[in-house]
Amino acid sequence: MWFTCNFSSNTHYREICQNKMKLIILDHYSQASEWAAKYIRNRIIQFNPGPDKYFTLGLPTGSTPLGCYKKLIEYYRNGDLSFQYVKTFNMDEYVGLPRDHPESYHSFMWNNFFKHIDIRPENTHILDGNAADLQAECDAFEEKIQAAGGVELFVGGIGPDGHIAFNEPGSSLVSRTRVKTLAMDTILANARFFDGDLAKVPTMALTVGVGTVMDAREVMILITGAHKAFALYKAIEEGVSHMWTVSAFQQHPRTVFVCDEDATLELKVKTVKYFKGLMLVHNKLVDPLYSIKEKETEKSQSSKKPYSD
Amino acid sequence: MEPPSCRPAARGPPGPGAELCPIKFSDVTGRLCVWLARRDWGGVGPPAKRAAASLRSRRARRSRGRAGHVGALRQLRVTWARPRCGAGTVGAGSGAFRSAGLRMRGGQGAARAPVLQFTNCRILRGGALLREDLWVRGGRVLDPEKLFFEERRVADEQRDCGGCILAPGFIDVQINGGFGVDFSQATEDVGSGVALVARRILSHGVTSFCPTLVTSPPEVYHKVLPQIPVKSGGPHGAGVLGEWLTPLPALLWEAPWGPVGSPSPIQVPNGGGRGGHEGPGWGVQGGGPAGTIPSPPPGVHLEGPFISREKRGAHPEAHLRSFEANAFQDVLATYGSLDNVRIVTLAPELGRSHEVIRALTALGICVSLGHSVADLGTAEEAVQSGATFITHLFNAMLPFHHRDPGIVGLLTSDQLPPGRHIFYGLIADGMHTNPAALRIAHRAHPKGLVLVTDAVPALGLGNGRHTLGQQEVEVNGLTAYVAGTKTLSGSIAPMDACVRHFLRATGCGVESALEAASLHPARLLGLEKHKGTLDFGADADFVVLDDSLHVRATYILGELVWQAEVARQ
Repeated sequence: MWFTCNFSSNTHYREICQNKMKLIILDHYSQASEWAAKYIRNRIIQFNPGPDKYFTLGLPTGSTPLGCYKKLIEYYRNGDLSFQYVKTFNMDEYVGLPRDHPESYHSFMWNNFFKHIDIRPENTHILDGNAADLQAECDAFEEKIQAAGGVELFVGGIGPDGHIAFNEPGSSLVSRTRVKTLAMDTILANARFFDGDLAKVPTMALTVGVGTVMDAREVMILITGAHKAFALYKAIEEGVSHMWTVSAFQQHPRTVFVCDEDATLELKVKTVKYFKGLMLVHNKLVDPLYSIKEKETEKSQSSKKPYSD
Repeated sequence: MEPPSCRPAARGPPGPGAELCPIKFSDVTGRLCVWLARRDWGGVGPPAKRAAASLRSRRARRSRGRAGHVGALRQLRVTWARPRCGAGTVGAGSGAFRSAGLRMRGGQGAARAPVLQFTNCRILRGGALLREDLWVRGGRVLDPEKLFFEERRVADEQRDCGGCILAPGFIDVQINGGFGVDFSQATEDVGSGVALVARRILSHGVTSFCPTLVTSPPEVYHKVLPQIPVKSGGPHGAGVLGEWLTPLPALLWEAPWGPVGSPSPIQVPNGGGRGGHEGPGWGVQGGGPAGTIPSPPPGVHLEGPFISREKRGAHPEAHLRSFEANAFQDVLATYGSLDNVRIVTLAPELGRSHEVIRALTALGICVSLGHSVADLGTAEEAVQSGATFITHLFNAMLPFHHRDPGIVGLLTSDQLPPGRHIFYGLIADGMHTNPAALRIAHRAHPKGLVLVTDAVPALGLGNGRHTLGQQEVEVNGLTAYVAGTKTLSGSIAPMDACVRHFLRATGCGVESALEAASLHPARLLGLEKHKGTLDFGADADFVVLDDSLHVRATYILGELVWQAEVARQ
């Protein structure tokens, strides 16, 4: 059994042990971000990565994960976490946008995450939207994920229309990394990053497929804000639908949805109450919080280990 | 030893004083190069080191096959170690040539150069202090994102700056001398004097400067100007926007430098001596990793003799001149050569001045208005003819009058050519310009503000009598007067003190104060792509400052050239 800690309640014990979808509800965006960051931190440290054993992490871009990245950077700065043995795979990148364009996902990752941490450049992987052969680039990306042993934890965000990565509504739920034309909703939403000029917004992107993310051993989806409430409702209270691609993760054996109160506005009261009641248990995932500073100590006290694989 | 890609063509005439003799080479493209060699070494570089040097130059030649001769020359970088006997001592220089293999365009040289990352600092970029790291390679500011994603590399060395401010190195476009050295004195050894000042003002955060000659007789110009070759900064000292040094045994510069201001693909001395605070050095500065055009060096600032008798200030009256019938020829005859000249201060009310301004401007020389009784109309016409600068605003010009604002009125003039604005020098030493006047100038026209020291040879010396040009100067505390009078004669405040005083007086913000001493003078001289900025691709000339803007360390081309005692380990 991977779980060895004693909880007061048997119900809670089963809940956390079973492979099932988890919904983590925090009050605000900042708390949701911190929870997600703590979870990533604990997962990486528990994995005990090393030169022959890299932790593979799938990463999103966009405004939602920013708070989570900030926290991870803080952990790195405080010496609690290292990305030396972490490999990252990003979900997507625009087609035809120069790499050094401020809105490219390369720039995003550099400015918001990579430049602040100790990750090695060769361990980061972002799709090249300017590759001569885009499909070959996508295939190579899949191969790189395979070569890295698959993704241990894929972190994602969603759009208000329930898209994960650039898997717009209607995408196949078994899709792989490929070129994708963006939905009008997405283009309109992105226009604000391109001087409000629709003509400047890229209309195509390279994106991992729903199937690619489904292959990850664990998936964590961040959903915050009232404008994503309907998507969260579609994701967890209705059936699996290719029109809400994030709903596919209902069928993933290990999915964590991390959201704030606002994002739960469209959920049933009983759903929210049920998962909030579980918070006591789910918080054991991030408490105690591990640090590489104390890794050696923790190792010698393996009985305290609350959660690992 | 010969420089790679250059072969000796002819031995030139013996040089002056410090046993310097130029040796002329033509490189493979036929461009003329001149090496100035210490005659007592009989060649270029100290004999003991020549073997090593030639070995390295063979390496350089090998790589030339990949990068072409210009690239090979660019990657040559030579260091002279610290002179044992101090600056200016004949025969003191010992050192080694070092081919650092830098700055080959897209070549392996660029990739091999170590990447330096300055962390835990705030850098001045785009008018703001950013919590960013400064990345340097091959003497240039590097774009770390490009390094990360394209080269997949990280820094080879990290240096913790302890939370300090990293600002572009200060550029002083008006400095008459310092540390007892008077640039206007026609000695046999002007070069070593300039070198001494270049080295000592590193502690003021100055990485480039324009040695300034006050009104002098033509013989002085003829003698001094050829002795101040334009060069870039390095561990030996701040770059003269035409400077150079004597303990320095060899100096390479490309003769067809002129017409002044034209960017040349091969540039001169810049330095090498890693950690050698006083070690003179030189190197060949080429394009950055991206193959950018190397920065054209600034040069000498000639203040006078074509100035107003009434507003001559400390300039000797006997040597003042006006423009004769063939005005520009008269200028040439007076100065001898304009090759190393970057700025000329003149009074626009002198007859035929517009002709001269146009001719100088056409040569890429910046014309500055000063020591003048010009009214606003005359000044505006001078600007329309090409003048871009005002020499020490408020000083040696008509005071502001509401019906005729005079040269001061240029700050808010609406008669300037479209898209252009005037730059103006300000002596913010606390003596020459009242804080209220500093505020007026700053609030009226902040973008044109250029801090200058106008320092006299007494800078860095104690109280007493010193010479400035042909005159005696009396120094007492922070004031320097023409001896026996109450005429202010230039400042003795170091540049960093001027920056602090300016900030305190105007409350303009740290960013603006620093830019007034770096970015603005660089813009004035058209060097803003290379100097006065920490943008990617610019020369990594920067100064490390604490929060009170005291200089902790100075870097030129990414190499530490000066460090405060307290900061030394």
